[in-house]
Amino acid sequence: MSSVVVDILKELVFRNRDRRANPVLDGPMRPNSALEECPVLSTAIAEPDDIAVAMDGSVYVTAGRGVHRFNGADFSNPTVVAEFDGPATGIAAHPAGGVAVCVAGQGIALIGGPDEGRMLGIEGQGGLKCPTALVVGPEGDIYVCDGSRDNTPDRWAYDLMQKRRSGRVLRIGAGGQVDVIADGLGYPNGICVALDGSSLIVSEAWTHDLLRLPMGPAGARPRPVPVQQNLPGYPARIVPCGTGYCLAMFALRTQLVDFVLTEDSYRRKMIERIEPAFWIAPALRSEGHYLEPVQGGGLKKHGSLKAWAPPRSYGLVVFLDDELEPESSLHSRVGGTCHGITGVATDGHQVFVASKGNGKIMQVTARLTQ
Amino acid sequence: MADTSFRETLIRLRYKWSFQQFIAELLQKRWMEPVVPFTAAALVVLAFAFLIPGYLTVGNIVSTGRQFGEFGFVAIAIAVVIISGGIDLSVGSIFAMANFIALMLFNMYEVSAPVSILVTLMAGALMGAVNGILIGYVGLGAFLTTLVTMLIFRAILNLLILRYSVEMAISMGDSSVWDWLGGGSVLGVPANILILALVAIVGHIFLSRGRPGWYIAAIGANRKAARHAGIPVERHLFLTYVISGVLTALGGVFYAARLNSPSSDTGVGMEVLALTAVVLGGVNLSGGRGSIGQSLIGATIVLVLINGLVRFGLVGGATSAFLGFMMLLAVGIDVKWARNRNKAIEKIYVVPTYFKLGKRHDIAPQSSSPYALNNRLRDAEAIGLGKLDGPEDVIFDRDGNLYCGTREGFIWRFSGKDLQTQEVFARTGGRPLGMAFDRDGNLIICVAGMGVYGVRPDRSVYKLTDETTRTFGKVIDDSRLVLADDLDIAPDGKIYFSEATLRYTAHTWATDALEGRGNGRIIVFDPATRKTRTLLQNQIFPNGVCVAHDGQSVLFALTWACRIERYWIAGPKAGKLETLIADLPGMPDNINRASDGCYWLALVGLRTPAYDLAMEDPGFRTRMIKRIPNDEWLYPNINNGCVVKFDEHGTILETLGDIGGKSHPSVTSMREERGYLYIGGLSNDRIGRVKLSGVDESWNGPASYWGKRS
Repeated sequence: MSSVVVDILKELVFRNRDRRANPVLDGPMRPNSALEECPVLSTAIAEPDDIAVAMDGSVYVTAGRGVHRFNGADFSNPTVVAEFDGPATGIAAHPAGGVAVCVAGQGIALIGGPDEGRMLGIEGQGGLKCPTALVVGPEGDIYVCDGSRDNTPDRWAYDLMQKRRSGRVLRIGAGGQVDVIADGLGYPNGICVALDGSSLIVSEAWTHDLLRLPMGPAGARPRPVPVQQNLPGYPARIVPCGTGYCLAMFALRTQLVDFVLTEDSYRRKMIERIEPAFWIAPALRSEGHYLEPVQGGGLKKHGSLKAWAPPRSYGLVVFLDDELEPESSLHSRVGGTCHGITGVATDGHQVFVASKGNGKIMQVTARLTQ
Repeated sequence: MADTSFRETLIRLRYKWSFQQFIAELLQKRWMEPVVPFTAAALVVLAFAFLIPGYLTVGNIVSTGRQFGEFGFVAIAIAVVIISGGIDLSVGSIFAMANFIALMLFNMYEVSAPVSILVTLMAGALMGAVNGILIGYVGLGAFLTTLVTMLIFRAILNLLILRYSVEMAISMGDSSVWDWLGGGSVLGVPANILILALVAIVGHIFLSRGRPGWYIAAIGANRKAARHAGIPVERHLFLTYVISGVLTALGGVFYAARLNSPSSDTGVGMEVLALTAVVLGGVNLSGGRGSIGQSLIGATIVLVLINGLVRFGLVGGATSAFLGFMMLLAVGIDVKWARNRNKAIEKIYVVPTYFKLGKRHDIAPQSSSPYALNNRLRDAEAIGLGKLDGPEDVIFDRDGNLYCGTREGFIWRFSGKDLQTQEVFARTGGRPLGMAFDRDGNLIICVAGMGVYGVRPDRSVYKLTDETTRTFGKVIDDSRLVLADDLDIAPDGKIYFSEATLRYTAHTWATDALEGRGNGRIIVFDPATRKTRTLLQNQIFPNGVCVAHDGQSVLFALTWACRIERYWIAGPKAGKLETLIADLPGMPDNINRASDGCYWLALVGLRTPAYDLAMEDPGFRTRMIKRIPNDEWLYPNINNGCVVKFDEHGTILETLGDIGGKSHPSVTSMREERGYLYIGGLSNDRIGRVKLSGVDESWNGPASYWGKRS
């Protein structure tokens, strides 16, 4: 009773406060089933995490502790090109050839280029506990997102539910020196060099933001500028694509998860007592397990689940314009088969995405909805 | 650890009885509406009694009372019109005209008092009829019409006073009846108050119990809908203005008798005072809502305020301004309240409570538990696929025909070879849920929203019961059956049935899960005496009911509590309640007999860890309900199918499942019949049929209950 009264009073007093309410999917973000119709190139890799196209056109995919490679346009048979001691997560093309891969707890590995097999160990600045994405800058500097100082990449759901804001962006200079260029971030989960060539775009998953980080001289600490706020989902990797960008979102926000994030006592007990797979939390994949929480809109009627039901998992790829405003989007809705899109890459013509939830490598094309 | 359990005890106690629920239920009551104005009236009287010495003396009360009588009639008059959705601004002029006519007849023409009064009342009716014809039949706007008649009546009055004032001033009638009306009393109560009380009682019965009263309120609430419903709108609008005219004239008569003064400013501004009174009393200005009692409470507030303010020495203008302000305030509150009342109730209606479920069994397919899930229901043969909307329960008659009740309120029958012929057997008009056949072959059905009904073999539908005994001391009237859920019939013919919840309906039942409160009950109906009696109160969503094979006890399922209870109806333990199975891994629904002396139990939903945790945290659920919409709420997981079999001791023997609910999510019932198990689901589009192996293939339900056909 008292809480209800307090809520009503709050509503009266702070009538116009920005509650960062979960935005409705509309306009360019309007739901469709376009992602379901995109060609699936490969299902050979279970849980592909990130994807990159090297200068020579071969496609590299990280999954688990390994890196797989497809040769040119042949997507039939991936070969494992590297295995590490920690999870291999973000991957990006290196301008000198080959790719750079970040390995949790280890550092940055270079594969397929002139420095094949070299590992840039990162010891300073507290190490690299939870690398999520990286990009190689024009000067050869490597910029890495360290999602969290508290949790490893496989424990991202803990990081969300513990409401951590300990993510960082690191710069690894050509000489191997490590600088923190941004910290206190809510799980930075994707990074790319902006179209203007002088700044970085970083996606911040837990705050649903895209940030712009100017690239300054070594040692400088640029101030991050939010360029997109209150996205409807949890952003993952982002790449420049033509005259804009392409952003992968690994799950949609739901009002229930946003609500649970305000419920400290419930969340604490949930983390303590319940297996993460059955939390009230976003997921990369949802098979309707009998122990998963169910929401009102997700109750089956006549044996079917409605596509508009609150999504536990979802597939979403968004094409953004040069100002990072959404232009069009491809969806895989509730009950769909391309959920948990974590990785995105482009060779300049084609755009590839990795569906970690359903183990698919797909090719997507921007399409104007409306 | 001890600390946590202490905390839990505190939380449990804190949520055991809910003040919020009490308020929510109170707000739904019709009689709650006058409570606020009544309290205001009492406070105003008390305030003046405290502030003004000698305010509550007999003399003052009597003199205020006499004014109140006259004013009360006018307030009632205007209230009747406002309830019909109109307004009557001419009451002040009619009042003055009545005063004048009564005095003229009685004093100048020396007509006897009763005749003068009668003629005056008829004159009032006539004036009201002018309004009524113009507004009701001609269809002019109420506000403008009565504004004009107010001016016209007043003008006529002024002409008459000019013409007759001298004659009237010198003549004087004489009658004891007249004097009694003006100054008489019975046991110290002024005469006009007595008559007012009489009129108020009659008027209240007329408005709240009589057909014309209901029609008037219906017209006020929604004129178009009233017309569509076949209410003669014109006639009733006409009637309200005539009633208003007569009541106002009656007030005028008392005024005349008391003061004997045909002054031209009689009743000036009275319409505004009466309006203020009615609105302060809580009568809705837009019509449809209000009562005589409310308008009298409002009249009390207005008169006491005027009286008190005058005695405070406030100048006339200030008093009027104050009253005007009060009226604005009342109208504002009324508008806001009328618009938000249902929203307010909705916000506080769902009241979750603390409920801790026991340990969850491992039901994983690879586990060794008897609950281990499998997919035996997934390949069930479908009956009526796509042609059924929610067969909650399924049952067979003696001839092997299959029946089920669906969401449209139909009872379907499947007959013929392989049950291929589908036809509507009967229409119930509600939501048919649990079913059973009685000894004579009548199909007895729990119909949600209606009660317990029967269908004879000739397809005629009849009512068994729709109410039970009302619980003493409960705010809401719980005598009506809201959600009769499942039933079974004991050997002596008594029908035991469950009412799942008193607070939700057939389409909002899942919200009851979020409360986790004992809102349901077990009831028994005896066809021999036609008496209905509540056996057990405060059960947490009692659902399936099954009379045990030996007829000595009734088993029933408590859905949200995940328990099976046994209530003894015969034998040494008669009247005792025991828990047969506790901590089921899912939410139990219907229970039915199996051929081998065991029982089938449908688990409509399976417990999920996140949901179990939420049940322990009523605050979490309360805030969730308030902050996010229904479709986003956390619900029990009813997307999987599960049926289990248990024996007389509550031991689980086997499980039939449909993981992921591909063909049978949320199984609510199952019935074994001649070697097959038939599956029903509350929101499914089919009945399923699964072949059972190693069972008695001649066993069937009707024979198990009523013996082999004689």
